[in-house]
Amino acid sequence: MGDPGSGGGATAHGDSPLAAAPLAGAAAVAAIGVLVLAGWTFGIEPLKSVLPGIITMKPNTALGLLASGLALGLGSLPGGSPRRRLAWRALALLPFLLGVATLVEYLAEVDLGIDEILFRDDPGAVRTPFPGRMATVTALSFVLSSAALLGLETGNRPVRLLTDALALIIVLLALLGLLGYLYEVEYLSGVLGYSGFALHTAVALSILGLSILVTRPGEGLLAPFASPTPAGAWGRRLLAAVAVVPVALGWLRLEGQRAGLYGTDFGTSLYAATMVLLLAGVVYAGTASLVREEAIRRGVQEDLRRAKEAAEAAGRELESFSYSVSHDLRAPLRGIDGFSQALLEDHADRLDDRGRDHLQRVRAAAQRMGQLIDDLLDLSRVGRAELARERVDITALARAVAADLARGAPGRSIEWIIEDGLEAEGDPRLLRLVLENLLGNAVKYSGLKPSARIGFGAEGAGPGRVFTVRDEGAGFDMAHAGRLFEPFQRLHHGREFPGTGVGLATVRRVVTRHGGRVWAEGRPGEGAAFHFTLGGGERGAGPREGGRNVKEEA
Amino acid sequence: MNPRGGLLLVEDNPDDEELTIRAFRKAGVVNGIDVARDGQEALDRLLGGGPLPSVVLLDLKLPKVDGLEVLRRIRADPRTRLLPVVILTSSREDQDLLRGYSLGCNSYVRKPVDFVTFAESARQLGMYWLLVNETPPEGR
Repeated sequence: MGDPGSGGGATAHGDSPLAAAPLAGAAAVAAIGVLVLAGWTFGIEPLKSVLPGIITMKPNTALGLLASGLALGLGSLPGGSPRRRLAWRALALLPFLLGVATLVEYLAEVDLGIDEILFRDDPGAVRTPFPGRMATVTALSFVLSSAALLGLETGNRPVRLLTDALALIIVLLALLGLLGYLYEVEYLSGVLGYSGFALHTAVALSILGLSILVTRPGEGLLAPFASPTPAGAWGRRLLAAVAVVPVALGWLRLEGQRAGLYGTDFGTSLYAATMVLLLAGVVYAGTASLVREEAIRRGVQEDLRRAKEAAEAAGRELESFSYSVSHDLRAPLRGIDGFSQALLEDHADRLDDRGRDHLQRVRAAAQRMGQLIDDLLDLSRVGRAELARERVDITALARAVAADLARGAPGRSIEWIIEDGLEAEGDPRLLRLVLENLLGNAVKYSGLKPSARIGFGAEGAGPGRVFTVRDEGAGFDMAHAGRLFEPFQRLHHGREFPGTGVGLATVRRVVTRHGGRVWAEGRPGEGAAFHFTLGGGERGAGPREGGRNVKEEA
Repeated sequence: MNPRGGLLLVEDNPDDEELTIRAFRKAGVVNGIDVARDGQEALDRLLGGGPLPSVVLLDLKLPKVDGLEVLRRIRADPRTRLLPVVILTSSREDQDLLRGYSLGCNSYVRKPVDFVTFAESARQLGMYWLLVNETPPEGR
């Protein structure tokens, strides 16, 4: 079917290689209709029949094609206002009415006076028992194509499959018409009665049918052929071969028979044998390609398996590393701290203030190192732990964490503003870690003010819900915000605000493992706000508060 | 019926041993601290038929026989299967906690780096396991 409308070359637009085909097909169909109407208007014979001495396309057929082409074009344009849909339906309905009326004329043997309503037919027109009347097969095709065009509107799959089946019937009818011209036989008049397709009617209807098939092909029968994958491309090539070669073979066979080289029996045998070879070739190509794909797939699976094994081995190594860190790295620190304390307790009288201060510093350093190891282990645990997903009462969790923090900071005046009724899907242990770090930071960085106000609340709903911890503490300079969530990166001096710089890295890891995001905003001396989500959700639920700078972290 | 034994500390690190004993001494536990320096020694001491301590303080990372294996064998022996065992270790890895409790430890205490905190833990441990807690009747 080497039709211009089959759209083999239309690969430039959209993600589907057939995306531009329906519009091109619609334009071709409408153009044929316009040209033939022009032919009737100005009496240009080649436009009416293409070749001299064969059947002409009737004016009503040309009108029906024009309407069908326009309807198809409107239907394949993206978007669509109610007005355009109305126009589309009206245009799709016109060929239907023409087709039905003509069929009524044939079946009821009446003249409704529509055949020559536009133009008077030529006296003695070829194979035209009723002047100006389109062929039965054309009328039938219009009924089918209108139904198919109207069916395109729905996104309903069964309706779409029916639409495509109608389009296939149109293509089949039109192809028979085309082959009639190619093989120079007039069987259609015998089979379907009275008259056959004009040559360009057959061309236009096959384009129309194919264009319907390739409109949003992902939804219909042609979905596999519309696939942008190599398999789809391969299928399209094969389809083209299957469409062209039998037609050519049939022609050769007929020509040979007509030239007297062989009779019908041998011709049929020859055709059958050649078709067997052709189909065997197609099956061979298909099988070879499948076998090749299978081999590649196996290779990929093998690679995947090895990569998984390597990752698991690395995971196990990390596990034993953390285990060893947890056990072995802390023991010497305990010795350093413990014996320093023993010195302070047992031999304080033999040390001066400087000596005692030095020992206190030794102890402080050992304890900081111990804290660092604990934080590192927390961070590593967050990455390793199996993620539990359950409903978590975030409000209760935040209140519990706040109570712990308040106990840990006696003498501080902290006003907690924690929103009621917050819930989330997640791992309760890990979420506790997030709140401990964020609320703990809020407490810590509010420490320079006589009284602190710390808020925790949420906006939005569902997985994209944004939770926010807000304080009025030391804040930070947005210029350095990029380092905020990196491990061991700190924006403040340890002297001012002690810490290991692992907390926010831990927060980010937990949030990321939940499929969410965390980001922060702040100003030096005015406080900070940390926002996080706990799941994909809508992308729009991101940084808000237009006026302020916002630093985003994945 | 139920003579109070002392405390068996199973600890291979001499620094930890000394600090632990120091912590208990500060807490007023002066007598009856016995030390086993590896898992095998602990098992010999406990399963050998001699008098049992009131509580075993068990480190996990031990030479020869590790702490969890020591615990398993203590629980497997009818004479010691109810003996109070407190795991006293550096780690708070989930797997250690889970295995420790699955094998039937009575308590799991993490040794902190900060000695002052550790001394307080030791004081509470000694107070609880040696004074407050009733040990199971001998034999059953």
